[in-house]
Order: sequence, then structure tokens, then C-alpha cells
Amino acid sequence: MKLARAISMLLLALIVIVGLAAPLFAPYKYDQQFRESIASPPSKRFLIGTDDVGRDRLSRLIYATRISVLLVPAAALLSVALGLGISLVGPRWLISGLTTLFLSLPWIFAFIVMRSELPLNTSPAVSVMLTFALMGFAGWAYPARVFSGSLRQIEQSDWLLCCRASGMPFLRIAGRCIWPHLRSVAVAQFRVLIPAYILSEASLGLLGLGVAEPLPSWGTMLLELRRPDLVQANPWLLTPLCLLMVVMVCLEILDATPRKATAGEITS
Amino acid sequence: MAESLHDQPIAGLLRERIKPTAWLIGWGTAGGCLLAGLLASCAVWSAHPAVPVATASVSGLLLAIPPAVLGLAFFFLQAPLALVIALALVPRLYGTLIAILQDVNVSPMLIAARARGVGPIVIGFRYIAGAAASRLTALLGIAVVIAFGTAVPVEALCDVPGLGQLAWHAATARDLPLLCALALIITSGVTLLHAMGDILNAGLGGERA
Repeated sequence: MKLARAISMLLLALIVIVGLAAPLFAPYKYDQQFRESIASPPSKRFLIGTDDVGRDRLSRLIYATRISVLLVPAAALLSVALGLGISLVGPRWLISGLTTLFLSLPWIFAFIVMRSELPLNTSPAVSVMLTFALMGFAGWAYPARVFSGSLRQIEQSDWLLCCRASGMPFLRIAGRCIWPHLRSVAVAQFRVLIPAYILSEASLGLLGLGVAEPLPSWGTMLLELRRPDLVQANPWLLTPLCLLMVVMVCLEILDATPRKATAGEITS
Repeated sequence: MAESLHDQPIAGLLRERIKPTAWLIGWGTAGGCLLAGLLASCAVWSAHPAVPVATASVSGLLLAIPPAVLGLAFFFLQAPLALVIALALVPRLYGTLIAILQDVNVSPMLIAARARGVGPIVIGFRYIAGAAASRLTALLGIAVVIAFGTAVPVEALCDVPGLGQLAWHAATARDLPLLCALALIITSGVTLLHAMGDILNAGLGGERA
């Protein structure tokens, strides 16, 4: 398991570095068109070929990785921050009602409803930011429910009573006393949300409701899978899916190890 | 109910579309629960140390594939789409089911039953299902929500005329009245399901975890 974890960390680090330094690693710009090589097969010039409008697929995949590497954690962070903020300041009955309501509605459906209200004439850059911001906003309920549960336990603790009795202000109590207890919960929530958001972005991209063209994302790169004849003739179209699966498996391996360790601690 | 932006009565649209979705979600949820239950049972009760690793790997691999891609693959292979929902549910239920089964497995009631020589079928239905009924019902409610979330891209991409496809069409056409009606119906349905689970639990005398 240690070896699998080390390999996963190495692979993820490599993918993140390549994604962050996309302009260095990508042979071309993501929107550069080569009209003389439309839908060309892999070659020395284009390692995984070009798409229907003559853009290098490898460059687009590297830039798509950058978008996912930067914006998926940002969306997860937004969800965790919103969940924490709402559960800290909101009245208990309201949080309970709202989280039940949000969790009753499938997440992707809530996102589709919000996405449909976006203006049509937004630029690709704004659209990508809005897509991930909405993703972060729509996913606040699950962390909020977990934080509420933890806060309920904290509220009954003697040390909190002691803090209040000593006249500490709310912000100081929240920052100095409550946050250290919630930090591990927040990290766990953040780690759970990342793979969920990667998969959601992929599904939204396949539905055409994700990142707008010409910006690439893992979801929009999967759009070509909707044409089976094309995939059968050009199996290298599966490269984005393979990359996505590698990332997901690595995240799963990294997530499983601490979970096992925690379980061991609890049972022992 | 009001009319959609295309002057179609929403109630009629929902009536037309609810059957394929119910079929997809029903069979998908049943299959997913069964498969996840089988995997989790193998992982908990198998004597061989390789089995939990194998089941966790299967679950992890299924989690790594976006359900929409799985749906497309099944659509082109003309395989039953309910299986997509089932396979998408497996990794999401597997971890929780393992936790439930591990809890039940060490309960004194089950150890005593085994010591008395009670058969495996009676143990499964009476002791395990009975002891974990409240948690399993709660999990079923979550499974239905996940199944519907998975059904949206599957129906939209695989041309299934269900509520998921309707939601997708409504989103692309910016049909807010229809989207609101759908959101209301789905939320009410899931809340009703949770309430039924609670009532069932109260009837069984179980406690919700």
C-alpha cells in the first residue's frame, strides 16, 4: 500500500506540475488552429492528433489539466468555506432545513438549474469561473451538515463554556478554540469534494453545460466520446478519459490510506 | 401546475416522462444495492486477505469512471442502462455498507446466534438486516438521490425520454417554470421517501444512525 501511495503521489504531483506550467509543456496554444491538419492522427508533430478544427489535442489536454488543477480545489475550498461559515453563524433550525433541502435535490440537478440562469453572452473566461464558482456554491450543504454535527459536539464541551465564561469574543473563540477542532474535518471534506467535482465537471462537460469553447477542460475534452464511430477509428481519443481515470484512482488510493489508519486508531 | 415556456402543461410533461426515469432509478438502485451489498459482504466475511483488496479495487475503479461515459459505453453496446446506475451506485454505497456490516458483525447478538448454530440465511435476513435496518433505510434514501443525479446525464446522453432528459432540455432552453416544477417534484419525492424511511424505522423500533 505504501508503494501504491508513493506512486499515486508522484503521478499526481507530475500531473499538477504539468498542468500548472501548461504554457511550458504544451507544444502549442490551446486555441491555435492548424487548418492543414484537421482531425489528423497522431504524428511526431501532434502526439495525440488534432481535433475537428485542427487544434492540437495534447496542448488542449495540458491546458485542460491546468483548469482542473486550479479550479477544482478552488471550488472545493469555496464549498468547505461556505459550509463552515453558514454552520458557524446560521441558526441551527435554518441550517438543518436548508441542508435537508439541498441534499434532497440531486447535486447535478441543482447545478443545472443555476447554470441555466447564467447569461448567454458571457466570455469563456467568465463562463469557466462561473461554472466552478457555481459548483462550489451548490456543494455547500454536505460540508455544512458535517460541520454542524461537529459543532454540536463542541458546543457541549466544557472548554467552550470556559472560553465563554472568561469573556472571550466570538471571533477569538472561533479562531483560537473551535477552528483547531474543525481543521481535520475541513481537510477531510475538502479531500472528499475534489474527486466529486472532477467527476461532476466531466459529466457537465459531456452534457455541454460545463466550460465554454474554446477553453478546454477535462469535461469538454470528453465530448468527442459521444461519437462512437470516431472513437472506434481513433482510439487515442480516449486519452483524456485515461488521464481522468488515473487521477481519480490516485486520489482514491491517497484517500483510502488515511481512512484505514483512522479506522485502526478508532478500533484499537 | 403551470405551463412551460413552450406552452405545454407541465403536469402532462411530467406524467409522460416519469415512467422511464422510475424504471431506470428503480432497477438501478436495486441492482446497485445488491452489487454493493455483495461486494461488501465478500470484503467483510471472506477469509482470504486478498478479497477485501480486490473488492476495494473494483469499487475504486468504478468510482474513477464518470457515469456519463459509462452510460455512453452501455448505450453504444446496447446494454441495459439501469446497469449504469447500478454500477455508479456501487462505489458510493460500498464504503458505508462495509462500515455497517463491520459494526453488525461484532455485535454480541450475532456472535451468540452463530454460537447457537443459526443458519447463514436466517442470520442474514433476521439478525444482520434486522440490526442494520434503520441505517440501511437511510442509505437507500441517499442511493435514490444519487441514482437520480446519475440518471440526468445518462438520460440526456442516451436519449431516454425521462425526467433527467426533460431537465436537461429545460436547462438548455432556459425554461425556468419547468425547472422549478421539476425541482419541487424531485425534492418532495425524496423528502417523502426519507419520511417513509423514518416511519418504517419507528415501526421497526430502530434508531436512525
